Amino acid sequence: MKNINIKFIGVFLLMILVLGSCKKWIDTEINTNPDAPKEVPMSSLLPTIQVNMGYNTIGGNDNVRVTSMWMQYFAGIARQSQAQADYLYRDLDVNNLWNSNYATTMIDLKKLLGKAETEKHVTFLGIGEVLMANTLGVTTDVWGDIPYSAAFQGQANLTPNFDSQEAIYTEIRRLLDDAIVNLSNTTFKGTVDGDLMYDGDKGLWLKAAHALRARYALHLSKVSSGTTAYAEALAHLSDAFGSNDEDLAFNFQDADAATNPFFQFMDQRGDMTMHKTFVDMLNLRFDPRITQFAALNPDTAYVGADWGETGENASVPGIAAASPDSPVPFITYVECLFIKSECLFKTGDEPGAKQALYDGLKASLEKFGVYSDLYYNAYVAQMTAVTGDLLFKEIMTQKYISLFYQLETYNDWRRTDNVIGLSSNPNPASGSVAGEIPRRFPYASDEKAYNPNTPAVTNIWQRVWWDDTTPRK
Amino acid sequence: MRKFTLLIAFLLLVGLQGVFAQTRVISGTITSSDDKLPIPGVTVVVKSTTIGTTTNLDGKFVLTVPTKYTVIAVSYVGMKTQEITITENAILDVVMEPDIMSMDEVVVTAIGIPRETKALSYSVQNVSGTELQKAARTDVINSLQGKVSDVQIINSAGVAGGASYIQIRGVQSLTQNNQPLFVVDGIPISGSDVGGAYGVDGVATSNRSIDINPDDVESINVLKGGAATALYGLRAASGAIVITTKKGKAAGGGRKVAINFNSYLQFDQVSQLPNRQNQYGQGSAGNWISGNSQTWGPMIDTCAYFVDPNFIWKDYDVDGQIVSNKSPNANGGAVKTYDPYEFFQTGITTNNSLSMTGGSDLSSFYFSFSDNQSKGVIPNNTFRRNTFKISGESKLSDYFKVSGNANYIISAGDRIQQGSNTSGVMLGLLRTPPTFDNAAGYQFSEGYTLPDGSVPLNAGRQRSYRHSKTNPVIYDNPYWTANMNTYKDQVNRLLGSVQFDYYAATWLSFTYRAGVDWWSRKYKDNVAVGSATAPGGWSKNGAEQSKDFNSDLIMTIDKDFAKDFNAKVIVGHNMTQQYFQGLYADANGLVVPEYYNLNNTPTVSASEGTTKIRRAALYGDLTLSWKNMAYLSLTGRNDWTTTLPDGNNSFFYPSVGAGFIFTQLSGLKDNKILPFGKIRASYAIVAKDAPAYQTMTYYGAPAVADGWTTGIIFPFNGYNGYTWGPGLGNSELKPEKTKTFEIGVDLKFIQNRVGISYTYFSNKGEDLLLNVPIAGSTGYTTMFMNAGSMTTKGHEITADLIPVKTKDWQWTINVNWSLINNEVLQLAPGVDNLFLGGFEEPAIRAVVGQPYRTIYGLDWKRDANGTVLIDADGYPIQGDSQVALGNIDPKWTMGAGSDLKWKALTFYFLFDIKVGGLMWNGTRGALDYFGTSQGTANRDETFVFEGVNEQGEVNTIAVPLDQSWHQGGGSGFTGPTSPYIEKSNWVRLRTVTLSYSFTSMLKKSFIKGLDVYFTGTNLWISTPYTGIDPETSLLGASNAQGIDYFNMPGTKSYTVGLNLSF
Repeated sequence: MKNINIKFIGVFLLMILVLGSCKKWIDTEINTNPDAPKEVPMSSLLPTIQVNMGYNTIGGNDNVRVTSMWMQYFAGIARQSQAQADYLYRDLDVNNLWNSNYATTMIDLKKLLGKAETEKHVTFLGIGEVLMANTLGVTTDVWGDIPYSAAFQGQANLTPNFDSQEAIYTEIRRLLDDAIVNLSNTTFKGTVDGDLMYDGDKGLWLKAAHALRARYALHLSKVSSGTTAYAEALAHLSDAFGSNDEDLAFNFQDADAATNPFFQFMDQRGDMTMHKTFVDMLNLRFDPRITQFAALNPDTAYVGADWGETGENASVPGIAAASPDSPVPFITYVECLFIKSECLFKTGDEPGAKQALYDGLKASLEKFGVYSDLYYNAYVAQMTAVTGDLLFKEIMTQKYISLFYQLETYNDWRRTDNVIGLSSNPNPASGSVAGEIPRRFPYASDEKAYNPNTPAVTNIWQRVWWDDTTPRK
Repeated sequence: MRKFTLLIAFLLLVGLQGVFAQTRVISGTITSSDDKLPIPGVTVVVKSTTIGTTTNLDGKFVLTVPTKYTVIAVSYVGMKTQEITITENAILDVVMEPDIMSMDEVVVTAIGIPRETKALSYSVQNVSGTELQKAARTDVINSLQGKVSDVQIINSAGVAGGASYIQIRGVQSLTQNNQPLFVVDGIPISGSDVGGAYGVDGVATSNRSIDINPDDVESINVLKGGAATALYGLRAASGAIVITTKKGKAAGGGRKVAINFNSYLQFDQVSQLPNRQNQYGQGSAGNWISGNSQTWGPMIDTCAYFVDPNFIWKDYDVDGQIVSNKSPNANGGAVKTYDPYEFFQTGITTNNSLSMTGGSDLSSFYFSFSDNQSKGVIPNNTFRRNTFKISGESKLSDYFKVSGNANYIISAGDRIQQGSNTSGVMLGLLRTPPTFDNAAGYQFSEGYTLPDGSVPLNAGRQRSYRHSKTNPVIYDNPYWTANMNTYKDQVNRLLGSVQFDYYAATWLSFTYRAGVDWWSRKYKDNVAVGSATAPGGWSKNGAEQSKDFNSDLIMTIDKDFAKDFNAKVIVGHNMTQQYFQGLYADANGLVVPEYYNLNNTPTVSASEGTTKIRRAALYGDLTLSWKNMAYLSLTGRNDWTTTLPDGNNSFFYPSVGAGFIFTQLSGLKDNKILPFGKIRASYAIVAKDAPAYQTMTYYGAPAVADGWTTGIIFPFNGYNGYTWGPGLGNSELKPEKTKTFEIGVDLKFIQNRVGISYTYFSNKGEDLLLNVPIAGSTGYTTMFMNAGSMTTKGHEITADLIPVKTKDWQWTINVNWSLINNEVLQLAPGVDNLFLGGFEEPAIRAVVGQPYRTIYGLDWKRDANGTVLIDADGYPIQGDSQVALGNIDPKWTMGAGSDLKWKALTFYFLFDIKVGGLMWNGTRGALDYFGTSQGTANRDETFVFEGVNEQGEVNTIAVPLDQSWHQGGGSGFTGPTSPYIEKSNWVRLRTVTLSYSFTSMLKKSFIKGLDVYFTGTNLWISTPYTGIDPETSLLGASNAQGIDYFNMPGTKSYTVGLNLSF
């Protein structure tokens, strides 16, 4: 028995020894993911932000592709694109866009801004502010009231309040004004790495800040008193872009998994062609830009699909929007010239407005590489007698053509209450408001489900604050 | 290091072992009460020692026993174990009684502890290796189908090497793995819980349970409830599949080694395919259009071919253009239809395995080799597995035994693209119009141009029904994807363990067991240039390795404390580590077609991922028994884990169980009608930790994409990027808990000819961990939290009958039936449904107040009474928000098997019945849009939809079910999901086996056994489901079952096999 007891105790001691090592064996440090960094430099956040803005926030297949069907650049001929062209755009269709804007673009911008402030890097700070202002702008323009002041707090606030669109616009202005101060700082010598758009050139970022400041001032033209919006926009244009080369645009690459989102859509999904409205408009004007906007159809003509057509014979979108390396413009010199034209017109300077229109057209033709004196001069000759409402319609029409496949034309269309005269889809999806093109996006179903503060929206014909001229309560 | 120190110490202790001089010799013959013949291979051991032997071919044994030991145990599979007290040298002739109702059956329970079934307070079900062998399934898990109550096994795709989903007693966890723990000879291994969960596209890979050679399996024991698995702790929270493999034993009969050879040949055929229409051709609006995606073209009867050498698509539409048979151009005869199902072939599987075993009283060995080669029903789909196993056991002294085993497994597959994937086989195949011949070539030679001299985008490479000059190929020709897009993977796996048993005293023993499960998997996923899914082609490579280590130290005390009172105490310690690493490198966009190398691209993207989890545990089990009549069992286990934050990472959970064999009561004893009756009850709490790395937020590689496109992969233009989140870390995680209660009764009637077992169980999961979607405006999209709660209640009945038992005849019937009710009680705040898998719409979701796994999607607009609303034109109106559309899990399932033996002939069949449960037939939904489904053959008919108009009046408007309807509300593409939810009930003849044993005929030869058998699997199915065999899952072995979207079809198989031993 003694023998057994010794062994028994010996083995038991060993067991305890093993247990004693538990503390080291169970070290919660092991639960730190070795494949995910806890901190990264600003230079590796900025590329993510810019790529995601180009691919989703600004140039996304869930926003500009859809508004471009509503704006009749394109026809949706099959599957989901057809439904969207019929104004069936549901809450669950925008989850990707909403979540991408908040949980990639803006949270990463918040991180970038926080780091830039800690590191007192005013250039990164200014760039971050410009991109945040731009993101807030495109987000609020399709959704109206959106979370911002209570957003991005993670566990601390899982159901952020929504800020009014008016408050968001105040924040856009504040961000851009602050960016202008930061980017004008000449004493700061820090450089910027990871800038895929301007390669860290803060002078260009400063111009972009002014350009965006002008755009977002103009957006309030319907709801601000008198001509203050136009005057405010004009005040910033002189410090904005001076040439096409200075455009703020994201350049996709003709390399696999680096290509333009709309190219990828057409490549992987198809289902879309040019729309009759737009193609007819350009054909009627003999506008040379059609060679860039559309591809020749099988009969080597430019043909758009009419409502309800399956587009067998229609042209597909051209190289301006749908080639692998098509850039996604955020804001351009051409847009600035058209903002100038509209603002001068609205503040009573018709000759100035007309000149800016010509400059805008010229810059656009040059941008697409199809400028000719012949076409330009013929246009100018045709326009000499045009004044008043007709001139304004032409300014907005030229802007509509020149800003092909950009979100901004949908804003212009709403802001100017369809001055360019688009007719709506004659056979929209059931539940549509007859004869009306939608005026907003629905809130994302995810946000609605998980954030009870999400405002109720009747339908996508309900207008956002700056689009709504009915008296406010 | 600790473990080695321990081993050395163990060996030293053994060295202390004294020598026992006093011995006595016992010898004898062991015979069967049935036929009075001697039984070879009976185990005769001295209780509580390593001393033992097996009977030789003549049923004889000789054993030397130290005098201090007095009890000898005699056991044999299928016979009642006997314990015999010896006092002197003796001739011991033992007559063994068959234990046909397994009353005294010993089963392996948690931690490898063998226990008598009658002592258990929970239900267990045991399946013997012989039963599994004749089922002839590559994945051993599939051979359990229909055999065990409350075990649901879904073979996800009818492809060679596809994964199988298995769940025991429903689900315990909301979003974590619900697959049981696999334990082989006491060592937990990667099983059905690893691998085999697919995306909506890609290929069907295997899960790791496929690496087990079914021929090595001695028995499989299914541990179902919390009380059964309590000692295994958190890893077995979803139950455990305990596999005992064959051990070495003396060959007997004058042989040094016994050799067993098992071989079968199997033919597989596609079992059930969706019906297609054959009346209408390719095109739209009644017109034939070459290259058109749809089949809304002309009526084929009214058409003829127009053969024109200048037709630009003449190499696509090989018979000519399709025109009206009244057309002056109609010069090519009547239009033919093609059957795309000719694509499928007869699959062939060959399985050969060889085992050798031998040994002496002191040591023994077992060796096996197996080769399984499968060729699927889809061309070029193959799977091959080779296994090598060696195990041995040696008695170093009368009190010390060492055993160990090593397995080496190579498995490799050639897999085919499937699912929601424009290169998926079924997607291109089923969308093909009946007028297009996929088989007339799939690839053009280099430099191919159309007759007009132009080159269609990428179509210069591929011949596909959907083609145009301006778009690349949209869907792959199934022949193209099966031949050009290759996905090859290979697994190398090493499983090994070593065990030391030390009998310190008659009442005290120690066991130490350590095992490793190491495997590596490499894959190469190639998509050819010109394929629909990636016109630029890709070559994706992955190298994964997994290393699991497990160690158990167990002390067992087995002592009679007083008269009729026995106590068994087990105290154990466990340590495990799980490590996984994956390295991935993808070449996106190939420069040289069909050259698959990482250097053949300008853009390589790479990633890696590592997971390391460590756990430790202390556990104890106290079982008290009184007069072999009443049993009480208490267990407790404390786990420590690295995946939970400090403070929450140590947790204790107990179980208590009791069993009472009331037929041992004096008044009821030896009753002829009811010889055995037991009631049992148990209660247990099982806790489970979180997945690794959920306690902190990290930067990660950004996924810049949308729901439409493949998106952007970093580095972009040489710049790398990181994004914060989007998963939000949670520093307050704690373990999730399942409380389980189980009560049951086991009865045996009339000479044990009728056995009935009933169990009721109730599980309640609390603090269930789930990755909760949160509002994007928080800056994050998901967060892991303890938020969910779910109950699962069920009834299980098993019945075993022996209606006939004579000298020549034996007829047994085994029936099992189970019913499960499951309800999600709570998810997270604001979250009333949770995505488990699938598409944006529809998806499989957990919905509060509904059973787990609800199909969630769009429905028609309905009034307050649930009646469909019809618009002014007479068509139903589509709803605009997603709703719960029904539950996919069966209401009840049943397996009914019958085994009829006449002399050497055995006829076995097993019916598998599933009632309740829905499946989304997304395939039909899409085909209704394209016009190839049977449902679109009615396109020239009118129909009055059932419903009411907005004024509440019953609809009476007859409307055509034409193309515009099927491309609006009337397809799953453009309309609601609800019309495509179908019942997936089935009654199937799961297995039928006819076997004949030549053994008795060959008595005098060197052949010791020869069985020949024929087995059919799934030969007959009756189901209302209109698609493929509803035993399918697009997402493989994942929680999101119930989705059929261009899934690979299931199969039926015919097998001939033989089992030879000599």
